[in-house]
Amino acid sequence: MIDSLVALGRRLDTPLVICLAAAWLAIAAAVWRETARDQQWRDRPLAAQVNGRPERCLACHADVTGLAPAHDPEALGCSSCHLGDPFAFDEDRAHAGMERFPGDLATATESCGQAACHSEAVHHVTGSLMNTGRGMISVDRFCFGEQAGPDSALTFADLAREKAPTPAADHLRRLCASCHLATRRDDHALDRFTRGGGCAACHLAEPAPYRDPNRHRRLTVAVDSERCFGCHSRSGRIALSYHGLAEVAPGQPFDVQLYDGRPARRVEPDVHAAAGMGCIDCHTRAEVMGDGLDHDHKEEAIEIACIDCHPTTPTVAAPLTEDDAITRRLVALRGWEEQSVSRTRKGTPLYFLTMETDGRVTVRSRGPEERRWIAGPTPDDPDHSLAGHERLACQACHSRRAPLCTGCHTSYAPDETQWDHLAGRERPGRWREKPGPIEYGPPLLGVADDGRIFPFIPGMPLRVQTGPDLPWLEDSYFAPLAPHTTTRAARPCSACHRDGATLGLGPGALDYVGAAWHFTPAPATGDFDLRWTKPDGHAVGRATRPAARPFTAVEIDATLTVGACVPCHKQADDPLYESFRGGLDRWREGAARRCDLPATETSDPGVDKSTIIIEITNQASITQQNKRTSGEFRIP
Amino acid sequence: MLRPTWPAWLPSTGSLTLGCLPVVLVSGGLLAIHFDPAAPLASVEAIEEVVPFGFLVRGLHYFASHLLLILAVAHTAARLSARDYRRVPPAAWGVAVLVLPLVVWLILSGFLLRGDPEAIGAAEVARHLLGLLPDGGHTRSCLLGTNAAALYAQHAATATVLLLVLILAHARIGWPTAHAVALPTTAALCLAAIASAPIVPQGTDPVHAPWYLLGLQEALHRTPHPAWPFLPPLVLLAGLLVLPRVTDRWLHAALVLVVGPYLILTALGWMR
Repeated sequence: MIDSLVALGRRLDTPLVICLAAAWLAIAAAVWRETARDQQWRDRPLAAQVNGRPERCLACHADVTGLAPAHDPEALGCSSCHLGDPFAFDEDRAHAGMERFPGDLATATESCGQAACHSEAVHHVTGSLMNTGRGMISVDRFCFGEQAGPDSALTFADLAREKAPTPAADHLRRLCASCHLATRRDDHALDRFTRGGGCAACHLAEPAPYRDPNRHRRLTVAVDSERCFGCHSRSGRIALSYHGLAEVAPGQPFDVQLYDGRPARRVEPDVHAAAGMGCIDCHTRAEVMGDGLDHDHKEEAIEIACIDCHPTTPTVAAPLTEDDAITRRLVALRGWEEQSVSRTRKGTPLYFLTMETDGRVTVRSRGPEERRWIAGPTPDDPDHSLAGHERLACQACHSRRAPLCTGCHTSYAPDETQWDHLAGRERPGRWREKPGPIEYGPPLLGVADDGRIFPFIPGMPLRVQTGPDLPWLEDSYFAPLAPHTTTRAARPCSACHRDGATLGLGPGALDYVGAAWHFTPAPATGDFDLRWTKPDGHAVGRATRPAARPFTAVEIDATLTVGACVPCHKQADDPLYESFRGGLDRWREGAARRCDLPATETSDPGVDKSTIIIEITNQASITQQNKRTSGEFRIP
Repeated sequence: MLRPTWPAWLPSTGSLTLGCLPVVLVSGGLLAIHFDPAAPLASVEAIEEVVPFGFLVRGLHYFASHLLLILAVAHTAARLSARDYRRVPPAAWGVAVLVLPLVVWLILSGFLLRGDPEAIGAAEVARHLLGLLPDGGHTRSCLLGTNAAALYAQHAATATVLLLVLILAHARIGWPTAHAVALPTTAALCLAAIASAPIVPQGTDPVHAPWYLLGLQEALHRTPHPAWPFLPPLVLLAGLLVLPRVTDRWLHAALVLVVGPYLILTALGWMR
């Protein structure tokens, strides 16, 4: 038997036998692999297809819930937004190249902004101020003395490319760039601390408790004001003001502590906030997400105006056209019916407004809750048609207060390190912000870039030395601001015509004594005072817009001249204001018998004549008495 | 000298090269059933993960074709070492020399058909390089076609048939021996059973050319003009074609000047 086997063995071809044995072993190994793989994929939808292509992400993620129909995984799959390899079965391979945070502007053109989805929106957002930060950058550089004016085309992308950042660029990269829309988000937490993240920064709805791993956060066009709060609660603090919060300095009594620990007191909110309106109930897509144009400052991007909801004349609404594709899409996404629309000054359709026949406007909420408000037209009354007030913006009279911060300190510690938001890493050097006294009061007024009289606040008062041998830079800056503290009742006439602070003269006593207006400045309380201009019209602060300016001497004189009459002639419908010049002439001629306005200079020796701004006499002309260089003043 | 140490039971390198062909052809035919040139990567992923034993068939095709290349190079080296180019007719030698670049092209086109990021990157480089030829893009169109389907036709039909014709003209036998088929087939089968043919994940930044072109990729990195790295291989190919008419000294010089630096560049590319 054994001999037979040995003989058989000798007859066999040894290499072939070895090959055969090896082949059997290999086939056994292959069968084992195949069985294991079969077990792994059993009962999973391997054949799932989206838009005619395999979407094997659904083999593992078929149970994902929470997304609205517009982003249903069964319609879009996962890879449409999250990238990765939708053909792969292996987890590592499927997740390679995946975008955990779709909408991040670094990859947004491949995810949200791909051709079939929101390409135009991503293109616009990329060029919007929330991403470029052009206004912020140029003002910062202007204040640091790195450029002559407050305009430039520099963007955060340009700053990110700078290998040796200038002091202003360094300051921006470490502090201001935290709100930069393209800042990479590194977790899925969604609170007021959240910064950046591109599209998801706003469009990811506030989640339910994030315990179910299969629950995807809902994407929405109904952006909650919470999403705006994180970034817009600083600087001009419009988000705080709007919601009735006033930040106070540490150590001061406070009612609430903000998300980042800052103390704040409760104050009266903006009348729109009190009515339940959110940020996007006024602000349009084009001004928030960009309109395809490069803007230098935010007021250039803003297109919504008070008169859009409170028209002064009946507004004509017209049907949407072929050019309004995005608006039509938004209307459809919200499940609304198309209607005739009015438009902003830039032509954006205000599809959420309905013009009623009685001149009122119905505002439909675009926020998370279905709500409607009725807005009345701007009254056609003397208050709104007073001669000489044509240049006033609505906010000049209808803003209750604005932050008047003069004491924040920013210092630089070269020996410490700080996160660089554009580099995405710690770098040597640290900018420290130390909050100082925060005051609130009626905003001062000035002339904005567009010629309107608009609220201004101290903007970036700064004392900085940008090099060891360089002089200290110290200047006061004033920035236009829509304070978002709207009140139904306007500021009284005296708030402008008899208030030195509102006129830009800074804190102090403005008194009409004898026949003259006297202004005595108050001692400065912070490092920087709130004085934008001197009574002679000489500006002592700088504006953060190229054409913005404080009132000139002529404008101050005109305002104060009226102010002399305001205590008696309080109402806008007073006959005096039908022709103020005529009334003044009658007084000069002695015809205004009941007027007890002092007509001649006081002889009271206690009056400090050096404080006189303007003397109002019954002479034919009013001449400047103090530091004026020009001669005659005429009532405009 | 390889011949004296070659075991008696081991077929010659030429036979082994020929022995690779059946498994490459059969596995390629099976892959063609499931491969979709309109969605190359998706179909390759499906072959790997969905088609029963698809990973095995794809692995067989992959490893056997690479064995074919290695054995073809080894066969050429062995023939050069034995100075066979002096004994065979010049036409037969010429055909043998042309088989080498054809095998490289076949494997490269298979690599490009994979459709993963490495393949896409390599296709872009190939298109760019072929576009430099002063023929108005004819060679590029001929080799790469305008889409994956054209390249697929090149790979599965034109180039394969041409290779078969050249090999049969060179070998002058119709069928390899059982040993010559069994050995490379078994080797490819074992490799395919335990290892997967590669697919590079999407989103990967393609860095490496296929291993046999790493030297060329490295040379492209290090030379100022993209045409220069192609000159030494072309000179070598031309040299091999005219080898029966030149002295051995020229052969040694060409090998030292081309093959040596290429191997060094390959090593450098591997480490990159």
